[in-house]
Amino acid sequence: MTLEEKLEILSDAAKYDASCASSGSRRHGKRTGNTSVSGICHSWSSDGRCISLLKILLSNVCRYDCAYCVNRARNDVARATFDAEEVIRLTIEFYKRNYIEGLFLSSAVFASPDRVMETMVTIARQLRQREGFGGYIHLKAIPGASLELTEQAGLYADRISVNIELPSEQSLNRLAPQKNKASIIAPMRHLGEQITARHADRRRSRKAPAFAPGGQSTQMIVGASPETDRDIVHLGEALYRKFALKRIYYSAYVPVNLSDRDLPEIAMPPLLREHRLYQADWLIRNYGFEARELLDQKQPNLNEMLDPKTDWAIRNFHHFPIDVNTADYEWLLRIPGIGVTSAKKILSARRFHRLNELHLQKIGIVMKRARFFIQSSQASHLYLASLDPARIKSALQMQSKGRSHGNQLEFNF
Amino acid sequence: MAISSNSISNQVLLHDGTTTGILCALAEGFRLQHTNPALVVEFIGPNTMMPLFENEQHHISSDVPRAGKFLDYIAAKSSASVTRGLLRVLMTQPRQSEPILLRYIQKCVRTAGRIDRSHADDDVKYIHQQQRKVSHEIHRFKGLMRFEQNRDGWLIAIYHPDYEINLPLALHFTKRLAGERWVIWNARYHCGMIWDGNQLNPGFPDDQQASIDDVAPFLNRAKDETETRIQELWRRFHRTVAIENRSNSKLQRQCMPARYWQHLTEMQPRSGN
Repeated sequence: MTLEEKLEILSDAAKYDASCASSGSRRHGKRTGNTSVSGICHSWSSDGRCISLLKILLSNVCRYDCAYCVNRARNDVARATFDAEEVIRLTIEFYKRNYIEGLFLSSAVFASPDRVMETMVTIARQLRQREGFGGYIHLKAIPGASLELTEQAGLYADRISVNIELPSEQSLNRLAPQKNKASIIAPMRHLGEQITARHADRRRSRKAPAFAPGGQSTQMIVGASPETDRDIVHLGEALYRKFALKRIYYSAYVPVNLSDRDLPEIAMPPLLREHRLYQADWLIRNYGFEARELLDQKQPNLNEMLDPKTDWAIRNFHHFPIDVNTADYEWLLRIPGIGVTSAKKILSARRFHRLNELHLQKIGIVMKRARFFIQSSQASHLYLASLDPARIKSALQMQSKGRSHGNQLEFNF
Repeated sequence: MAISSNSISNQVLLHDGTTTGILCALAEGFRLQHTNPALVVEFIGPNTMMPLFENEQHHISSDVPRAGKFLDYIAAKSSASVTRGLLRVLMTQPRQSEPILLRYIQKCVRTAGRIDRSHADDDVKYIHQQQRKVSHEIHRFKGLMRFEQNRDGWLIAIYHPDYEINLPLALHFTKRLAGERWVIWNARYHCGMIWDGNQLNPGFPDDQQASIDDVAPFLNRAKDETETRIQELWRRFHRTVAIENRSNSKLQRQCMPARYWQHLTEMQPRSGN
């Protein structure tokens, strides 16, 4: 089989992994390559996702038979396995031409988990030691591989991830019979402990070896199993807290295996749901929200018509309007239409003079959303008095409806 | 040459439009208004219309040490990040925004740089916006630059940016591709940067007719089979990594505007051989 054919099969098989981040690491190679803390996107594919890493599987020959996976054992698809050298050459040659920021290497379970993991670690080690490569390396930890191997991976990789795949143990047992919760949670916990401890060492001494400076991440398939958004968001929050996760990726379920009785039949992947989950995830990581504030038993799923922050603000209208000239940073962040950047800008700008709506517009606040929730000038106060939460909600929903027909994100359903 | 600031009429400062020229004109304007705050200063670059009424006109010569001294002065009176930002704005080769630049510098000097955090101030906002445009483009090309290897092992990249951002990009690649030999060529501003593995050599003709072949005549632009094969491998990867069910070419164009495609290996049709 030619290298061209292998690359085609093994990039096609890897494309459902959502992660493409190349951020969080500051590394200099001995010969070629370095990493950029903010990450760099190198291209965009026709599905609009950014490409920053050479995202491939080492092999798509698999012993496992997970219902949602295109590479499951019973599927009749073309199979291929890279030699370690082929992966190394492709990475270096692509990197030199500035096609990529580095390598994202995952694999199907073509042999024992230990053997698979060992080959992947060898590739990363050779890239670092023999080739003097300083670009980004993201390694996938194979569930069931020994913790020592997973730990070794951290010495050469910038980021490691273990995919949790499904948001509950029941779904995992049903759809991925050869995997179990323990085999996924154990490496995640171990990595979380190692990352926390070694990053602390690193802060004490620059000579301490780097260990997965970009942290660990995971991925969850959304829409293949019956869990609600509430289940998912709560699980996410617990993972961030317990295992020091950097990111969780949500992947809208794409029906790759047709006519499987265990899986729902859908025409289009639930992209809007995925989008809303990412927004909720952002609120938890960067805006100081807690999962229980966003979703509860009464409202187990995110509102598709409104972003989760606006939805929260309308349900908690008694907190508003907020005066941007006096509110704390934490409260500025809770105003719809104000993000991390604009909240910080408000903090520094209001030390010079009181801010009115014109100033806020200049700072970059999305006034069409924020104006319902802030108290800055008399005009907006009057405006506010004439409205009640229900009417604001419908006004904002009209806005977002209008937008989906215009530019930005488009959902064909 | 210093101009007497005793006269009451408006002062018109003519400069050559280069970064150094603009900085020297700003330095002169700053000096004039420092002694006489009521004085009106106008700036005329190479492509601006002469003012309708007769005013005192002064040609300001491009003087590198003077520009450098002025930058040092601003940095000392405000902060290094202010001068860094100004240099970014000057990369846009701004036309007719010298008065804003001058006001911004005056405010920075007056407030020891604190004004830079007053995000609702019009001048500060303008400067930050321009800065963001340049920084954004630099970041964008750190990803979108495409090198092609020639028969002699040199990596060659041609790109077409909006601004003159050769230097920050070259500095990025001297770290990233330190062990390689490469050339980057700014096809819009007709200037390049060469890294021979040890040293960065800038300073190529800013001639509107110049092409990369004038810059590096020793470079053989012909590529060999290995290069063709690697480019084809990359095109294949780029094609297969997209998920068909999520196709969204509008988003692709939004993130990677079509004006950049000309020099992107993956957006070229498959080569003939």
